[in-house]
Amino acid sequence: MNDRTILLVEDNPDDVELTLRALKKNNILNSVTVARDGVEALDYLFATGAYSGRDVKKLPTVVLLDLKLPKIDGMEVLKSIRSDDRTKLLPVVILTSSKEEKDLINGYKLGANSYIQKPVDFEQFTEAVRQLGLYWLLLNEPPPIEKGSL
Amino acid sequence: MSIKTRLKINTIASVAAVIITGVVFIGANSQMEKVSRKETKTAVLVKGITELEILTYDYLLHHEKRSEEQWKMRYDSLQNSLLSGEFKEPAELAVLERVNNNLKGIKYNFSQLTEGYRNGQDRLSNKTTIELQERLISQMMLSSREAVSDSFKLNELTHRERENVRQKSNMLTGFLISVLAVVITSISFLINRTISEPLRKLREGTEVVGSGNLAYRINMDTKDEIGQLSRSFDQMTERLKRVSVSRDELVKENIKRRQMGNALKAANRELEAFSYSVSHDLRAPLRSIDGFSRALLEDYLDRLDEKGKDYLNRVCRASQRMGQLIDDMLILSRVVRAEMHYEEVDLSAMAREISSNLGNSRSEHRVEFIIQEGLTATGDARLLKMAMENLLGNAWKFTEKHSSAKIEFGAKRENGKQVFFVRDDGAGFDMAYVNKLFQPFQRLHELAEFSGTGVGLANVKRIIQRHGGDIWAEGAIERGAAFYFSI
Ligand SMILES: Nc1ncnc2c1ncn2[C@@H]1O[C@H](COP(=O)(O)OP(=O)(O)O)[C@@H](O)[C@H]1O
Ligand SMILES: [Mg+2]
Repeated sequence: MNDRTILLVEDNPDDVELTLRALKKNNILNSVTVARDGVEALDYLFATGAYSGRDVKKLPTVVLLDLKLPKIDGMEVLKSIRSDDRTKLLPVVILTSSKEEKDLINGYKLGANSYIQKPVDFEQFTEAVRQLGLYWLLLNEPPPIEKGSL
Repeated sequence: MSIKTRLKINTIASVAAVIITGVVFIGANSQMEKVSRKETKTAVLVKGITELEILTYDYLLHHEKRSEEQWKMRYDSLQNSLLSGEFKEPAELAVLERVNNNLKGIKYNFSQLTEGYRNGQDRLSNKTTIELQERLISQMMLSSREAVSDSFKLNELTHRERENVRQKSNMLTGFLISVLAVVITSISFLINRTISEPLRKLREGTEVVGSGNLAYRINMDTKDEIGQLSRSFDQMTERLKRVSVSRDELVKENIKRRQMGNALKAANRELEAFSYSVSHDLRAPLRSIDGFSRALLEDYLDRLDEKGKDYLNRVCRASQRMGQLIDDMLILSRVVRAEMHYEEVDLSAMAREISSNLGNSRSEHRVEFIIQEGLTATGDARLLKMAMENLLGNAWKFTEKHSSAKIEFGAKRENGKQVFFVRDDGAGFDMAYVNKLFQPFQRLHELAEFSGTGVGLANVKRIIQRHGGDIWAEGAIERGAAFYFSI
């Protein structure tokens, strides 16, 4: 279970810290890789750029994707993930402070698996992360593409 | 004067000309007839006198009784024709008188003669008798000559009269014809001037207006038909101008509206961008404040005294409240921007659903809902639901402090308009501040007493206004509140 990594795409260091804390509080102890913007996230996923040495077959179990990102924004990242055969089925959870319906609709349209609004109340956030962890890290089977490499 | 009357006058004048000419002609004719009758008469007279003369000679030659008789008959008929009264002029009468006298003289002499012959045929050789006879004969001849010459004079007079009459009637006819010609020509000329000249003006006017100059006016001031026509035409042009002016204004107005629409769209886009960044960027630091305060409370609890814990709790509550305010504010801006989809909305069903949701909440609060059936309105279902949720939610919230409560949804007619209402018997409010209710972030109750941000009713008002309706409230402290709205 420990090799099930989580890719957290988040530019705000406070939110990174709080997300890690929420995961820890919920006993989700998977390793977490943090990408600070969209470019870094895609580099990691496709083993390019700074991550060119990485095994491209080792995909994270789930991607927690913030929408508002520098350089390439969350929606673009999601589009790239969904348009590449290797990552087409990768679970992506949109994790954002936006309450705009437009974002929600677009997110699902582009194939987001889930959508969590980050509430101001940290307790609520912890609760949301707990449910997310339960579903995506404990219950959900990893996508079949990974089976050969395991 | 109208063209019709002018034409009528012209016709009447022409007819009068014909009649007058006819009358003059007839008059001249009858005069002529009279003259020719006179001529016949004088001819008869001359003939009669000549015959009388011949008869006299006949008698003188034969002394026959038959000749005498014939003479007398001729004389009588002559006398009769003299009395027939054809001649009336004094000159004629004088001549006639003379003829008459001569005839009388002839008659006298003739009767002397006949008497002489009858008395003594034997004494015919008598010298005195012969003398007398000769004298008588010569006298008779003289008289008859005179009568004949008088008759000719009469004839001459008549002839002169005939000339006179002819000349006069010619002159009169000529005069009348020229007068009538002048009258008819001038009237025709007038008609021509009052028709063709104005017609030309009218035609020019229609051409100018037709070419698009709606400011042109013919301005004809005559009272006839063409004047009326041109005035009607001017009025029509005026109306056309007004219509086209208002059309121009409409076009301008349309352009202005389109520009305003564009500006509005731009403002909307800006607002959207703004609220997007508000929901992202304003909430992020709040999340940090709340999150790290909690982290402090959890991880460093042992190093905090009560005061420190209290302060951190306050920081958490404040940041959460600010988060709520931001969320509500975003809802408000979304209501303003929302696109409207009109449909028939069952407000009664909506109220039922909302009330059952409220009733299902975990609270102990028990409320009696009275919902009038079959109330519908045309509007945007999503927005109307938001409004109803706010109103019924408020009623629920502000009755919470009462052990039993009643919430009503219904409708009544006011000034012919349907007015919906949501009424409760809860905390109520002070009517003095009724105007503040619908302003965003304005509240009439303490946060400690009743939670909330004060945006709900502002949203409701926006929603009702976007439906073209009105909303107002009534209330009294601890006696409940009622919210009325029309759509
Ligand atoms: N049913 C009600 N009874 C009494 N007061 C009310 C009622 N509804 C609204 N109000 C008053 O109007 C204020 C504004 O209402 P609203 O905009 O819905 O804000 P909130 O519900 O968040 O306080 C409330 O704070 C309250 O003082
Ligand atoms: Mg409210």
